[in-house]
Amino acid sequence: MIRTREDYLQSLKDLGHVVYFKGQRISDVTRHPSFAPHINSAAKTYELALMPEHEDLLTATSHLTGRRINRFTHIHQSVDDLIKKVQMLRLVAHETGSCFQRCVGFDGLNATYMTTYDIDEKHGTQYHKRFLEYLKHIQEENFMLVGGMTDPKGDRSKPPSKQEDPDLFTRVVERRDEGIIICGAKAHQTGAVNSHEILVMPTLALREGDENYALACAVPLNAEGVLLIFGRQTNEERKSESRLDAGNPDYGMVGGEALVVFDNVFVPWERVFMCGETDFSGLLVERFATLHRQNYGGCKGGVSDVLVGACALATEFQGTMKATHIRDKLAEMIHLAETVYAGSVACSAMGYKTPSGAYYPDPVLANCTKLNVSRNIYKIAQLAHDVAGGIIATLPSEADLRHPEIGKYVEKYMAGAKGVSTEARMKILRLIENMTGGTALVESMHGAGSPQAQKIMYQRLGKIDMKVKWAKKLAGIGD
Amino acid sequence: MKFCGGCNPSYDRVEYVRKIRRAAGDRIEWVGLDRGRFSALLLVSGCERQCVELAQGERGGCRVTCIKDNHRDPSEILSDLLKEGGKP
Repeated sequence: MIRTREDYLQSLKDLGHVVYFKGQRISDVTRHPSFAPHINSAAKTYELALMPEHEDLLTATSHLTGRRINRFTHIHQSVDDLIKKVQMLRLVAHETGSCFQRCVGFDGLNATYMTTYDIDEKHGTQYHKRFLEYLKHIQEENFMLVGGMTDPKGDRSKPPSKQEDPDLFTRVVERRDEGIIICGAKAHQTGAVNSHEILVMPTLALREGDENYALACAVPLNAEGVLLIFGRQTNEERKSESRLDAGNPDYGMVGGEALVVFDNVFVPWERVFMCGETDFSGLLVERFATLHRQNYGGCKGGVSDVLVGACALATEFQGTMKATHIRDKLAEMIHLAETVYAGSVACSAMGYKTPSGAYYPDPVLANCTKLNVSRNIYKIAQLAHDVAGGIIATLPSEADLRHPEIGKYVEKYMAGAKGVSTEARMKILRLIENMTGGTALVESMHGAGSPQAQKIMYQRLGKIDMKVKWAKKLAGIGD
Repeated sequence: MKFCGGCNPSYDRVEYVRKIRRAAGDRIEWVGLDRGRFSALLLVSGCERQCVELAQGERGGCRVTCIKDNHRDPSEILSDLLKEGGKP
C-alpha cells in the first residue's frame, strides 16, 4: 500500500511504464526535471493525508471496508463529503500553487460507481459488482488514477464509427472469453505519467452502431501496449535551467498532460465496466463532467489565493501596495476567486443521492462553476499582470543576476523598495509569471470541458420551460 | 401530502399534483400533514435533491410515495398511493 511520498515515488519507479518526451524514452520519471514538479504536486495528496492537521479533509472512511482511506479514492456518501472534497482541493492548491492531478481519477471512480449500478439495474449485467472489487483494490493500494475520457476525436463532425481511422475514439477491437482487446488513445491526460492506472470512459453520448466505443475499463499504465507521450508546456525548459526562473520550482505549472496510446491492449473482464451499452455512455460522460466541474472553484480558487498573495507581495516589494487602485484590484481578484469557490460549495450543498447511494453535485451549478472559472481565471490573471507590471515580461534571468560582471547591474536596477532584496522581488515576479502564463490559463479554459460544453448542459438542464411559465404568469399571458 | 418549498423546481409540481388528484377522483381524501389522520403519504419534491423532510411523527406509520419529477403517468402514482394504504 502507498502511504508516504517515498512510497509513491518508489511505486512510480517500479511501474516501468513506457513514457516518451521530446523524442526520448524516459526511464525514470521521478528523476527527470520535466516530470518531478508534477510528481511533487501529486505527492502532496499522500503527504497531507498523513498530517493530523489535514486528515479530516484528506481522508475518509470507506463505505465498503470501514477502513480509513485517502479521500481521493472515496465514493461520496453525503453532501458533507461533496463539500469536503471542494475544501480539500482548495487546501492542496495552497500547498502546490498548481494542479495536483488526482481529482480526475477520483471523479472517474465516482461516475463509474453510479453508472455501473444503473446499467446493471436496466440490463441485468454484473458491472457494478466487478467495479466494487476494483474499487476495494484501489482504496487498499491507495493508487492514483487517470480519468481517461477525452478521445482524440479526429473529424468532429462524424461519430466514432464513421471516422476514417476507427481508432480516433478508443474502442473494443476483439472480445475473447477472458477479456477484450482495445485500441485507440486518450488525449490531454492530466497526471498520466505519474499515475498507476487509467480508468477509460467514453468521450460522448453514443448511438446505435457505436457499440464498440461504449467502453469503460481500467488499465494499468504498465500494461503491454500502453504508451504515453508527454506534452510540452510554456517555459518548461526553465525547470532544468534555474529554480528562480521557473517561478514555482518545486511544483508543476499545471497538471502535466500526456497522450495515452492503447495499441492492442488486453483488458480482463473483471476490469471491464461498460462494453456496448450505448444507452449509458451519455450518462457516464455527464456524471464525470459534473463531478469534475464541481472541483474547479476549489482548486482554482486555491491557486488564485496564492496568486493574490504573490501580487500583494510584489506590490509591497515595489512600493505600490498603498495605492488605491492597487488595493481595489487585489480586492477584485479576491472577489473573483471567492465567486468560483462559492459555486463549488453551492453545487455540493445542493447535491443529492443517486440510486447507487453515492452522492452527486447539482449538475447545473457545477457547470456554472466551471464556466465561471474559464472566465474568472483569465480576469484574475489580467489583474495580476496589471498589478505586477511589465517587468514580468522583461525580467532578466537568474544567470544574469549571478553573473560576475553584469550581476551588479541586475541587482541595482531590478531593486524595489528599501529593505527588499532584488532576488526576492525577482522570485515573486517569476511566480506570478508562472501562474498566469500560457499553459496555466488554457488548462482553466478547457480542463473538464470547454466553455461550450457547459452551455450545452444549460440548454439541456436549464429548465427553460419553467422559466417561461414564470414569465408568462407575471406578464399575464395565458397558456 | 407534503410539498417541498419549491425554490427552483424542474417541473410544475402543483399542476402535476392536480393531475394526480384528478385521476384519483373521490377515491382519495387529500389532507395536509397537520390535518387529521391519513393512511398514505405523498411527498412532492421539485428536483433531484428531494430536500423535503418529515418531522418526528409526521410519517404516522404509513408508507410514503415520493415524486421528484413528472416523468411518470399520474395514474401510476395514484396506483402506488392506493396500493400503499389508501382507500380501496
